[in-house]
Order: sequence, then C-alpha cells, then structure tokens
Amino acid sequence: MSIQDDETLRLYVEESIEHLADIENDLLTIEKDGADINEELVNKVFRAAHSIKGGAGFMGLNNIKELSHKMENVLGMIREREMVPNPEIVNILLLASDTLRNLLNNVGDSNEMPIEEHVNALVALTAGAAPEKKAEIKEKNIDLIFDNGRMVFTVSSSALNNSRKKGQYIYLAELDLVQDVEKKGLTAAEILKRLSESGTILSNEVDVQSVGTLDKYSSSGKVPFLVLFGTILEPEMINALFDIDEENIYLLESNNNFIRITEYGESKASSEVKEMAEESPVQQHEEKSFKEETSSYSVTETVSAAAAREGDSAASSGAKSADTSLRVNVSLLDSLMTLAGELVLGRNQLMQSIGQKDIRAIEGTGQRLDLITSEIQEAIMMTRMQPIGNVFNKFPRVVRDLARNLNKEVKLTIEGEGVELDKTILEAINDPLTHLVRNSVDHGIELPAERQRAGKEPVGHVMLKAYHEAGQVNIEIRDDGKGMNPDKLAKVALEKNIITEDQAIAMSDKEKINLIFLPGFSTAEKVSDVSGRGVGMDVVKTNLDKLGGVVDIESLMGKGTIIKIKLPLTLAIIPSQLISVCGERYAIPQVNLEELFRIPANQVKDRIEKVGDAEVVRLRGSLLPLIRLADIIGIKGEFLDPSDKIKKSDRRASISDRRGRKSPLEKAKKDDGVIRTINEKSDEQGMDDINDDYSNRRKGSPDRRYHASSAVNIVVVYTGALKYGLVVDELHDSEEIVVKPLGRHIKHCKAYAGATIMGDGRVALILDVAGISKMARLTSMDGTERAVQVAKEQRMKSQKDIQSLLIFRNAEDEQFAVPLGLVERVEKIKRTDIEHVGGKKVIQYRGASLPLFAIEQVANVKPLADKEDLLVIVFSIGGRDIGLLATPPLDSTEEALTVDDMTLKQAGIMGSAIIGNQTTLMINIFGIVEALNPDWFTKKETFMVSDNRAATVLYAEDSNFFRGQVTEYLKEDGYNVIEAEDGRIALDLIEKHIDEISLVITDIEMPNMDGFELTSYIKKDARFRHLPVIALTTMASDEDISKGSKVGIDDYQIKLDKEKLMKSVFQHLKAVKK
Amino acid sequence: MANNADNRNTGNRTMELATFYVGDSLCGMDILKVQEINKLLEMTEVPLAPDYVKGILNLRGQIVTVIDLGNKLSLADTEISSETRNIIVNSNGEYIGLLVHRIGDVERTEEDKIEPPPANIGGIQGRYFEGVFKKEKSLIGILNVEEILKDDGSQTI
Repeated sequence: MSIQDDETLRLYVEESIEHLADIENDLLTIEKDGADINEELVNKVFRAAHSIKGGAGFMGLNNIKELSHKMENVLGMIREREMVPNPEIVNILLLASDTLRNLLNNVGDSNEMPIEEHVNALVALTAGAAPEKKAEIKEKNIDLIFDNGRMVFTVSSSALNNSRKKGQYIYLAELDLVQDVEKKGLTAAEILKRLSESGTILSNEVDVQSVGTLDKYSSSGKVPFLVLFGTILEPEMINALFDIDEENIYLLESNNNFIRITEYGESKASSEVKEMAEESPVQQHEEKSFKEETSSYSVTETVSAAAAREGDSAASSGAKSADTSLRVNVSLLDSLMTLAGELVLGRNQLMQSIGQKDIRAIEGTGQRLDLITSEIQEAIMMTRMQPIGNVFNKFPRVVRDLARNLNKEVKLTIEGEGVELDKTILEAINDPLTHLVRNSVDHGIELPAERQRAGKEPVGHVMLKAYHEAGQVNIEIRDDGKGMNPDKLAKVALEKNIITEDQAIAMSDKEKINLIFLPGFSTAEKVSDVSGRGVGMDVVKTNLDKLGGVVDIESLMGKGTIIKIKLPLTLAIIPSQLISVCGERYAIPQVNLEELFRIPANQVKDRIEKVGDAEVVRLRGSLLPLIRLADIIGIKGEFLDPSDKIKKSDRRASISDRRGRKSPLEKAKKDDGVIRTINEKSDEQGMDDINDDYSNRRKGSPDRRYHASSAVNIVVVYTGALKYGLVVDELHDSEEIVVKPLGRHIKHCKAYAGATIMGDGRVALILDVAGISKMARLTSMDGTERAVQVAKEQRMKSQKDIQSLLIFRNAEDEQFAVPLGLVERVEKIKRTDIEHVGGKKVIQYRGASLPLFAIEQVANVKPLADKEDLLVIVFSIGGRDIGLLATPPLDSTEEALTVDDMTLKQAGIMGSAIIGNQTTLMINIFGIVEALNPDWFTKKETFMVSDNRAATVLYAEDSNFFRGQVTEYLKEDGYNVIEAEDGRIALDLIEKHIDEISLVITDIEMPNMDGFELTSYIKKDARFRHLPVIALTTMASDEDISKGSKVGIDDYQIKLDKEKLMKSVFQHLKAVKK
Repeated sequence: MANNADNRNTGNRTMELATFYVGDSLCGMDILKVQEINKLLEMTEVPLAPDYVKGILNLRGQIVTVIDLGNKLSLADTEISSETRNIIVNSNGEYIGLLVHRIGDVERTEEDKIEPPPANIGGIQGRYFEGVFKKEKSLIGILNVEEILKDDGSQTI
C-alpha cells in the first residue's frame, strides 16, 4: 500500500469524514426536495464525493475511490436531472455513504473490505437511468474498464469526446514504475510531462491493487503505472513515445473497450461493427435483476446497516477515543497563548516578590495568578467544547430510516444545535440520546392511520431541543405520540415483581412513568427491530447519571411524551459542596445539590419524624426522605466518652429517636448501660446530651448545650426524579474540584463518583448521589410524592400557619426576623464597602448603587454592631432594590408563629415573637422603607365603589397577627375591612354584608372551614359568585395553586408582601367593576 | 509480567529484590517494579471499600489506592508506626501503594536461585508468591504483585 505518510492520510480521513457528515443531511434534503432539485445542494454533495474520490486516488485507496466515484456518478445524474432522487435512490446513496465512512474509519483495511454490494447497487442506478434519457452524454463521466475490472478509469465523457473530435487515438499505457521508469533514470512526473507535450493525459493511476494481490506482479516486483492518453500518433508509432513492451499498450476503441495495439491491425476490419457503442455497455452487470431488487434491498438493508452502524460506532468510540484529534479555533489558541504569557509574567512577579519578601506584592500577584488561572481554565474548557449539533445531526437519518422501517411518518425538528458541550459528554450522550429518539419514534409515534383516528396529523412530530439553563445544558426530546399509560406501566412492574401492590397503589402517575427507568423493565409488547436490543431505559439513565446528568419524563396519554435531560457543561472540573462526616471530608457535585439547611437543636423533634421505615424531614410543607451518610457508608462513629472511658455509639439508631420517645431501642441501650440515660431528662436535653458527647470529643469543652453542633445539617440532593436529604456532620464551603478517577479496588463502591485533591493536599471522596440512594434502597417509590401527601395531611391537621423567616441581628444581642418571601437576596459585604454619598449610604452592587439603611434609622433599637463583616438583605420594593444592613449570624426558620403585635410594636417593627428561645422583633419592611423614602410609593390607589365610599374587603384569617397586619395594610390604603376568624364566620359575614363586600381575601389553613372550602362555597353560590377571591399563603406551591384554581381562587399572594397584595386587590376590584 | 517472564527465560540474570516485612514475614519484590517508597501516610479512608484498602492518598496529583499487605495476605492488619512505609507500584497504569510493616535491605540474587513457592509461606497462600529465595538465615518470599492486586471483585456493595 502506497500510503504517502501518516499525516497526509490522517488529514485526508478527517476531511473526508467531515464531508460525509454533510453528505448525509444534504442527501436527506435532496430526498425531500424530490424532483424539485436544489442544484446548489446537489452540487455540494457532488463536490464532496468528488474530493473524497480525488484524495483516495492520490492515496491509493481504491475501494474508497471506487465507491465515492460511483456515488459521484449517481449524483451527477441527479444534477443533470437524468434521475429523480426518490427515497430508493437516496437510500442507496445513504448506505453507500455509510460504507464509505466505514472504509474511511478503517482506512488501513479499506482495500480489503467488500463494497461490491453498494457499487453494484449504484451502478444499477446509473445503468437503469441512462437509457431513459437516451444517453445524453454531456457532463457525464464514463467508466473505462480495463483488464476485466482490474482497473477502472473514470473520465469525463466530454474530455473523451473532445479527444476523439480532435482525431486523437486514446491509448492506455501500462508502464512499470520499476522497469520502465526508475531503471531508465526517469520519474513518473517526467514521463507525464513528456507525454503532455504530445497529447492529452486523460487519467493516470498506480495500480496498487495488483501489487498487493496479484502474484505475478509482486513476484516480479512490478508496480504498474497506467496512463490514459490521447494523442494523434498512430498505433504503429505510439511506442516511440512510451518506449515499453508493445504488449502493454492498449487502444481504446470507440465502443470503449480496450484492445492491445498489437491486435489493432487485425481487429481494425471487424471493429467497424461499433453500433453497440450507443448502448454504452460500460458495465457488464446484470442491470435488470438489480433494478427489481432495489426495492426489497433497501428495506432489508436498512436494518442490518443500522445495526452494523451501531456496532461500528460502539467499536470505534472505544478504539478511536485514544487518539482522536480536535479542531480548535485559532483565536482561542491565540488567547491561550496570551494567557500563558501572562502566567509566566505572574510567576516571575511572584518569584521576585518572594525574593524581596514583599507580602503586599505577593498578595497582589496571588490575586493576579488566581485570575489568570481561572481564565486559562475557561479557555481550555472552551477548546473542549463542541456544538451538540455534531450529535443531533445524525438524527434526521436515524429517524428517517426508522420511520421507513416501521411504516410511520415522522417529522424531526432540531433546535439549538449550536449549544456547546464538553467533548467527552458529547460522546457519552450519543448512545442514550439515540436510544431515546428511537424510543420516541418506535413506541411514541403511532402509525399514520392510528394517528388519524385519534384526530392527529398523520405525520408524527419528534422534536430535539437543546438549550442552556442555569449553567447546565438541557436537552428535550419531545414527541406528539401516544404517550405512556401510567397504569399499564405499573401493571407491568407489578408482574415483573419490581414493585409491590401497596407501592403501586400509593404511586402517583409521575412515579409510575418513572418506573421505566428501573432495571428489568421494558414495555415493548413485541420485540421489534428497534427495541429489544438489550439496552433499556435503565441503561440510559445509568449512563446519564454517570455524567452527572438528570433525566425526567413527562407524559400525557394520547398527547405525547417529553423527556428532559439536564447535563453539566463539563466533567473535568466541577463545582461541588464540601461536607464532612466523622471528621472526613466529602464532596457532593453541585449539580445534584438543591439546598443546604440545618435544623437547630430545639427543632429536631418537630421536624424529623418517621413515616413507615423512612426517616423524613419536614421542609416547607413537604416530607423529604433522609439518609444518614454515616450509616450508609458504614462509618461506625464510635468514640471514647471522655468522662467514663466507655466506647459509645455516636448516634442513635435513627434521628427521630432524638425526639425522646421512649422507644424500645433506647431502653435497650439504657439497660446495657452503654448510653447515658436519655429518658431521665427532658426530651430535648436528652437529645442534646448525646450530641454534646460528640461535640465535646471534638471541641473539648465541657458543657455546650445548644451549641450549634447539636443541630442537624442536611444537604438536600436530587438525582433524577428523586430528592432526598443527606444528613452530615458539618457543612463546608463550595469549591471547584478536579475529578480524579478511583483505583480499581474501590471502583465497586457505588457511593463514590471519584476523588479529588483538596487545597491541603489531602484526598476527598466525591459522593455519588444516585449510588447512595440506591444503597439506601431509596427508590423513587417511597418518599417524595407520597410524602407530599402525608405532609399535606399533617399540615391540615396542625392547622397552623408555618411562616418562613429570615433571622438576623442588628446589635449583637437583638434578634430580628423578616418573612423570607420578601427577601430577594442576602449579600456579605465588608464595612469598608459602604460609601457615604449625598447623605445616604450605598454600596456598589451589580453595576449600580444599592441604597442601604439600618433598622435604627426608623425604629428605636440598638445600633448596628460595630463589625467588619456585614450582611445586606436585599428587598425589592416599589420596583427598586433596597438593602437592609444586618449582622450575622444569619439563619432561616420555619415557625408556626404566635406574634405578639402589642408589646414591642413600634415604627418599623410589626411585633415580636419567640424564636429559638429569644425574643425576636419582626421587621415591617414596608413601614421602614416608607418612613425613609415616602416618595417610593406611588400615590395610593384606592378603589372607590362610589364617589366617596371606598371598597369593602372581607378578610378571613385565623392568626391574629396576620389579620391585624393585613387589615392595617388594607386600611392604610383606604379600604374598609370586615374581619373573620375562620371560613365559617367569613361565610356568615358574607351573607350578612353581601351588599357592601366587593372582594374576599382569605387564608388557606383555618379551623372549621379552610380557604379552599370557603372559596368553593362562594363560587357555588350565585349571589356571591361575582366576588373575587384572593388567597394569602406563606408559601404557594404549584399544587396548592392548581387546587386553588379548581375551586375558583382568583389569585395567590404571599402574606406580608404588602405591595403585591394591594396591587392585586386593586386590579381585581377594577376588573369586577368592568 | 511479561518483563518477569523474560527474566526467567534469560536464566542467570542478577536481580535485586526490595525486601520488606509484612507482619513478621520477610517478603520481597523485584526492585524494578517499585516506583518509589515513601512515608506518605496521610490517607483518606474509604468507607465501604474492601478491608484491605487502607485508604487513598495524593501522590503528586495522582490518586493512589493504598493496600494493606498484611490484611490482603490474611495476616494481621499493618499497624501504623514510624517504620511503616508505602511501596508505590505501577500496576496496569494505575498507582497502588502497598503498606508494609517496615522496609528491609535490598538483596542481590541470581534468577536461578529463586525456587518455586511452597503452598504456603508463614500462613500466606502460595499463590501470592512468584518464588522464594533462600538466604543463609532467612527465607524471602517473592511476591507476585499482580496476583495480589488482582481485583477479586469481592465485597462489592
């Protein structure tokens, strides 16, 4: 094989594969266009095939050359409108391009690989189409077959005709590069040059094939070099030019057959019978049989080719990944270069400053290096980024083939090809995506007839969409097919013993749909070509999990299915949250992280409880299953009690035991005398005791009741549809970590995704959130959605308003709280960041000045503590941001509030409550802002029922505090308010005052009659139906909102968000009047 | 391993053995297989890992799995002392640390003086050895590192 050199070959292969990638999609467009040819497009494909052919000829890759050449022929005919590109033709071309890709991927063996099948099919096409148009030989190429197909020359027929018109003879000379060229001290180039002086060179080739395959040549050391040459020299004289054995010179007869010039004289007479030339018997294949076969051929072949392709891609991705190359934008490389320069500069500066022991300079340089490093990191990442289109672009073909196969009609829309992803991720999502798209076409989209019966367009629609969101890439695969039947899925899962009957009953539809991700689940009723290839959805999910991706399914029966995949942008460096358990640090990838929260010691017993076997925590009205990391990774957590030197178990059997219930377990422990008595003390103390043992051990101080370490730290993580809380000892910072693989001895442990090296040089393990949930046998069944229901019941029972509050301080010993719902953000600042401008305090914040204020400016409280580190709590009021200065510690809590709105009430303070054993002042943020910036509030619009009478509002609320507060808001704005303590009273009052009342505001959770019930009564009664109902909640969940809108609630507002509430009241009143 | 097989074929080649104590047993291995010997003992424990995995550590940016030879060879766990050392070997492209009780001398020997291992040396299974080398007073068991590091897949969780 005369492959020039590796580099050239590699370049050629890369380029050709790029050409091929274009060819595929272009062919599909050509198919779509049908007879209405887009010439430019056809030309483009033609040129692509042509350049592949050209390179192959140069490299001696005969199979590739031949195949691409045949494709070129067909394309040429399409371009000349001698052939209409129907699906059959395009199919053959597509299959040929697949094979071509295959050949290119295995360039070394390409000459040994079988291509006849495709060549024949293509030839059959050209041969079949040609007679139809009566061989209008214009720009057509002609194949000249020499020595029974040993060599095939492709020349444009016009060139051939031109030569003939000039009266030239066309010769084929077979020179031997060894004997005829080298031994005479010549080179091929010189010979060609000499020839071109006395004629036209139509084509020249080195017959590599015969060197490798035919013994007679290889043994004689011959390298045949064939030249197709047009000249006016007569056959008798031609050898003067070539000076070789006459046996090796052939003449091309007018019927395009070669004869030896030695035979020329004899055949001259007989060759007058040249009529057959019109038929252009360029190929000696049985054309007819092939034409008939094409239809069946295409169908059967698609399947096998598709299967083969899959195999190839799997094989090649495994084998090739080692040394693939990447195209990188030059400007990116330039910027990297610049950055590298900066880095060197930075190093020099650092060395210098270290030499001079100039601490300040070192600090500065350190910052600079920090900046440069992150820029380099970003730039390097960019080089790895590839558009997702690289993966998406194969799907038109996949969908088309599959649809043909299944007799379906499917339209594929692709959006967001430009979204970029890390190369490794891109490679890894290829298979899962293919599977999902196949599924959509195979299982999702119905047959055209079925679709019509269902009243849909016969053409199914599959949509692939990629977009960025929150630092992640989202991919959606959407189809408008038949959707999934949750009950059927549950039934199958039951039959396969994947779930129990109880579980099936308790499951929501969404959970049932998510069953398909469980191992051993496949819903295909019959195994088709497409499904049943042994790759289930569980594999898809596992693969995506491995990438740190999340997959979620939404499906509506009869409407279709949406599969959403969230992927990180890159794998190598990931942001992560550091936590520790038993003194050892672990990292949790940020992509899995939802939130962090800690339950203060005194709330543990209220918040953590047991539902069935699972420990759960109440978090904003829903129940979250808990996993204790120490348990799951089997850290025994034993320690020596400093007082009595007895080894003790660090923790109780379950967190809920902390609640101090006299569980048999604890009793047993007590009897053992191992654990110091818990039950003798009050519940909370008992619990804290245990924790204190733990903290004592570490902190070495004797009595630290209510120390922060008694709190339970929970990391809320999610994986797929599953969300759970991981109980850890300590929460640390979040950090960007470099992921390193684990050795083979640890790979088995499902709990870890890898390891990373921390700043201090120690290694920390990276937790695999999905693996841990599996180890805890926490499947999406138990917990989550079911827990929501439980929680709701719980909530209903308690009939108390849980208010989320942000707790902070101003002076060190005064605690304040503000409703969390009103807070936009909290920022940490330094005191020095504050600027005093125009008599006001501001900080620079997101490119603008944020006005600051302190509580003491309005309320009579102790002044802000003199601390260096301050907090700014940002509120958005009247469409503007304002920052409230505060000091740490910052905490948030969910409390069923009993607010005393008498004792400590003053300007800017709406009342007080006991939070965490401390009197806490509740901030009236609106009051404060209004006092400071009266002009911020636009002139109050009060809705007047008549000229001098303001509208009357009925307000139902069981909490005195809120009732008082909101009533005050309403009255401030000039409304008349009728107050009711619960739903029943409200209803009575409505009956009595229906003539006055124009609007109802109601709390949701109230004794006797809740807000939902009240609303449904109002909306059912013709007399009251016109009243708008605004519900006030502390936290409006989507579920509540949908439930509320069912019974007729017009709007949801968050309690204490005065501004929005007033706006809503005004708008609704206005709407009613109209 | 291939390297090792070659050594045997070439016959009377001198080889150097790095020797060390696993518990009380003197073991050795071809010094050419040793990447380095260090005192890095700042390991991160890996809960759930097989018992013989003592932890993982950072060796100049590489994560090294440290295996307690004592445990792996079914002797007593290696207790960390001032003499404990970590022998870093490269096995199939992965760095693995072998935790040993203490390090012994480097012994020179000829290949043909190495005898095939008995079924059991001091309580350690014979399959973990490539051979034994008899000195006047002592016996050095030459460890078959690959066999030891072969991941038996047990204790999968």
